[in-house]
Amino acid sequence: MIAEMFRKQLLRWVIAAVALGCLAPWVVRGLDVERLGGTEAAIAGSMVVKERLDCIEAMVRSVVSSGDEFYVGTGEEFWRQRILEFAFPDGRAVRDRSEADLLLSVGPSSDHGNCGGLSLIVEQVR
Amino acid sequence: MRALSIAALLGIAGLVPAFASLGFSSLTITAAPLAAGLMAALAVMLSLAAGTGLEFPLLLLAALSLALASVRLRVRWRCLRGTWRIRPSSLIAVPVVGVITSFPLIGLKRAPIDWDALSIWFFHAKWFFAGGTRAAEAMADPLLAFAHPDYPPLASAAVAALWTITGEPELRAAQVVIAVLTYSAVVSLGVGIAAVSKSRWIGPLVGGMVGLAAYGLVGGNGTNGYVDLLWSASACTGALLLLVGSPSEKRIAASAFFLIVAALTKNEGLVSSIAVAAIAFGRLSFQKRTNKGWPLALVPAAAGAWLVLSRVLGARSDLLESGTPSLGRIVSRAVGALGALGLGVLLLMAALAGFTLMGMRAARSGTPVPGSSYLLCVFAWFASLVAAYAISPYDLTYHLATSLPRTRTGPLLLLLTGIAIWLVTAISQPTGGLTGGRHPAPEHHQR
Repeated sequence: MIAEMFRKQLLRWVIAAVALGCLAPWVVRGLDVERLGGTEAAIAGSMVVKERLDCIEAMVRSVVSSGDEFYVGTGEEFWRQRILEFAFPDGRAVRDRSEADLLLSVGPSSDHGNCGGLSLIVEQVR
Repeated sequence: MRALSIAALLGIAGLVPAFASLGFSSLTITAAPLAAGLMAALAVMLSLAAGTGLEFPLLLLAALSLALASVRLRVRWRCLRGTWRIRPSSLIAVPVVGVITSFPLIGLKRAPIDWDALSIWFFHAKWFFAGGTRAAEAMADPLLAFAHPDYPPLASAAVAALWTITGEPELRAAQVVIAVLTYSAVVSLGVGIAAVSKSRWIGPLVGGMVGLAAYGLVGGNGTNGYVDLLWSASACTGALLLLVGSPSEKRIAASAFFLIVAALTKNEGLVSSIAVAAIAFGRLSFQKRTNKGWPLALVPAAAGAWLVLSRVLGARSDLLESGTPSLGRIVSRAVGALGALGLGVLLLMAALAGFTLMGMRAARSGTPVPGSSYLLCVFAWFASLVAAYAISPYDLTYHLATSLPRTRTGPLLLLLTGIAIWLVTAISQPTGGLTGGRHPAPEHHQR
């Protein structure tokens, strides 16, 4: 009888200890401010990137609002996608380069403004 | 302050549809933002089908949910004749889990700049905000294929609905909306876990721990506009309500709500929710209770409606439409994906399987613990994850490195949820709970 009760209690506490051991590392990670992106450095870094994105977005919109058909250059995929995002739904992106008036891409030169070292490159293709 | 206003708006907007779907329950409070998101998703689907703006479908669905909630309230009122009461433990669970789980929202201080949030979820929201016709054009446009136009609409639809109200497509608001939906799903999961326990404090505390662990799984991706934790927590809540203990009719209906939310949030959620519904239906058939399981049919119906609509509009899936890979390629990639899951996952699975074996008598006696069907569900979710990598057209190393930490969230959270329920049961069952004494199913969702 005592042995049976001991077995039952032992089973309970073994399960509780192992379960707690499995959960605890993830709980600690859920309290890790660095990992959650809540540290000052993470916030400052994200703000710098956001300012550059906002700047590029404003440039894309200023070009798109000219009314020309444009084609997005095949440069870095990240910026190609950003231009398409920023231009929609106002944009008139075309699928065939030969139909475009302008070629848009993002690069290091500064022929159309400058966003922290990045610029929108606009080429007249027609 | 702005984040709080958006949270309050989502909560208030979702309260009526949440009551229409879930009735009187503490989950009605925690899931109110999800109900608002679900209503927005249905509105987007109507807007896409009819080629209209989002305003009219939103108003129509709001009126419909108000009518449904009124009918439900009248029926309940007549049946209960004033005997309705809220369990004290439920009253405690919502604030305790809510407060503990709010800590990771510190990540909202970051700006909305992350890759998939911009390229997929906020971008889709811009399409839906522009109206059904423009959105349909975008979904069919091969130039925009990078944005995964086949992904389900719930998170982006909620963002587009808010933008429709404010009139301003603003990314910071989009980030907050998705973070609030995610928080709502995680708190619902914690409250669901708390309901397993008869103890007033242990259940809510463990529920709060699981909420923190859920954010621990995804880190900053819980607040940056990504939706992996949103679908995962919703689907886990659905699985918990269905597969732990013997579900009442009301719990089955509540679980269908959470599974539909998961299915309409992301493709992984869609597959996982259908797997839960199928396993639960099989379990009900085994118990000769299939007549109670009809709400589960709504899960594949909602998922199917999105699949058909998006394909008809021309959206294509990068996984399914890249040709038929050879069997050898599939097997070698599956082995690679399994290896990448790592030893930690294997140990967690071993722990849950061990608990299930040790507590078989408890499951048979009616104690609400994760049994063999829950374990089967965990395997099914991991299998679908490995299958996705096996058929993917992308380089396996690249694909795993860029996505596995997020895509494994659902199966891992299901594992942790199961383990947490064992923890609650082991600590709070005074006698017999784990070793075969009679134990009624939790009354929390049974009214």
